[in-house]
Amino acid sequence: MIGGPSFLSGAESRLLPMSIPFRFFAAAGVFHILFWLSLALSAADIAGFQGGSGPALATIHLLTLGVMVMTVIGASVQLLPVATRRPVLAIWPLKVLFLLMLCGVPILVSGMALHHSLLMKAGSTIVTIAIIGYLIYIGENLLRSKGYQAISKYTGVALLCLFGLSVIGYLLIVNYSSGFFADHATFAEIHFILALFGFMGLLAFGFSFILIPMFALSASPTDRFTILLLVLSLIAISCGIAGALYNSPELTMIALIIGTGAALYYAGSMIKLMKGGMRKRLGISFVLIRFSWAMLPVGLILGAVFASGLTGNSPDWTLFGFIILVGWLLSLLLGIMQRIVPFLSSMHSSTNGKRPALLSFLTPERPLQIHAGCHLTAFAITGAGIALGMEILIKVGALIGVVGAVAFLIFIRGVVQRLNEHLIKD
Amino acid sequence: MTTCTENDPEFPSDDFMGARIWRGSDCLHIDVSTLHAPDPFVATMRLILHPAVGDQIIFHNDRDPVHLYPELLEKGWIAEPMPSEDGSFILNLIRVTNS
Repeated sequence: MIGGPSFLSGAESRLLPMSIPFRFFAAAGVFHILFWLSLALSAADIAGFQGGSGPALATIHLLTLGVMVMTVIGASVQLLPVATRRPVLAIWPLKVLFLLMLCGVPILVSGMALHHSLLMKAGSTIVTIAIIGYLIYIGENLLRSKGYQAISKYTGVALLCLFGLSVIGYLLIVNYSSGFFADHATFAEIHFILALFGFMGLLAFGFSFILIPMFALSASPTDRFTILLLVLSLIAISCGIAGALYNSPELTMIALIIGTGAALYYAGSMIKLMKGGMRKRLGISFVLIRFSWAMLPVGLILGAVFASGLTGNSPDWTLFGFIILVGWLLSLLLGIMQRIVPFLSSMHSSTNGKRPALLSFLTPERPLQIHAGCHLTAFAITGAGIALGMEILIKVGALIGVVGAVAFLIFIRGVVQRLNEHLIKD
Repeated sequence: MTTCTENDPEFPSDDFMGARIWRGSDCLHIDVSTLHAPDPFVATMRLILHPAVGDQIIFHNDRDPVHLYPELLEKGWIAEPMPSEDGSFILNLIRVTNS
């Protein structure tokens, strides 16, 4: 029978149970709401943030650990084994990992918000164990991979950065009570560089070499391009770390200039790939993805201007961080998730001999439209609030962000609901 | 099944990520087993969207194309597994609706 019982029979055995990636996505969806809510509540702290524990630091980690790391774990454990052609060895470690992240992140951010040393230590210990576990889990799959593709290289380096930033992050937390780092801010800066550009940035680059051609039905980037981009990125990251270690604005500026070059090279190549793709109508997700590609060089150029000293003695690095974190990474992540959440659901929709559900059926469009509008508006208003030091603008922007984040969670729930409807339908 | 080393001139390899495409006595064949992700997916989807492709393709790969099925269905195609003697993965792709 065409499209009958045999359909996807082989594929099902190669897929993780749907509940595995989706538990990470759902948790990330909740942390996404909490991030914007926390941003609204800590607007006063954000406007003048100079580092150190407090509500602003908690807000940042709700986003980086709660939204980004959660999503990366959920997506990578499903997508990477397909790219490396090596299935994962076991499912149970992912369940343990999820529980550790689900408990560790709220404890850590509560400790940060309340300046509570014991909570911070407990939370960071749990999160560090979870991240090391993830590193071992994914690293094992990478080591067994066939061939050495671009995604393996980028993921490998990103995982090394994750290891470095996790160790430094843990030591920074311990340092709040022990004080063994002579210069806490320097290591906080290195932690920031490794997290945003080393771990998340390189993963974003590496996965886009797989996902963008899939979405646009275009050619993959050439090896020459992926290697050159990796080299440029690593030089920029190394210069950034050296700039922090030696307190050298010159090195920081060089890092930002090389980083800008890499970002423009990457964005230009992605646009060129898409022009050669067979699929031209890419939907609302690509509004966010294209926006994210623009925000990376914008953020880096702004950073270079700050590092040059042109804006005076107190450059607004919070604005730089906001553009990179929310404008680039969060926009990209949410744009990609809009595509892969229905996609992964569809692969699980053919049980009991059913024909799989159509992607278009599984994708609730309205929440995505609301989310995209709110996300971009929230970014603009909050960014303006940070730039102008206006607490009220940060609050208004963040509350719009809350509405968008709720719409995004409704989208994830909608996909699961439609999948269930499909599965119980005769 | 008919095999050949040259791509059918209507489907030049460069347009399909280096995939081997040939016309057998039965229908069009695509072999993506030498390609890395995402090229097997992209080459197959580009082929089914090609105006000259017809209503049936035999798909050859060395693994199950798990990410292909949702997109195939969205474009009005379904896949049926076919027997294989050498452990490779062969699917009969059939157009069921014009999407």
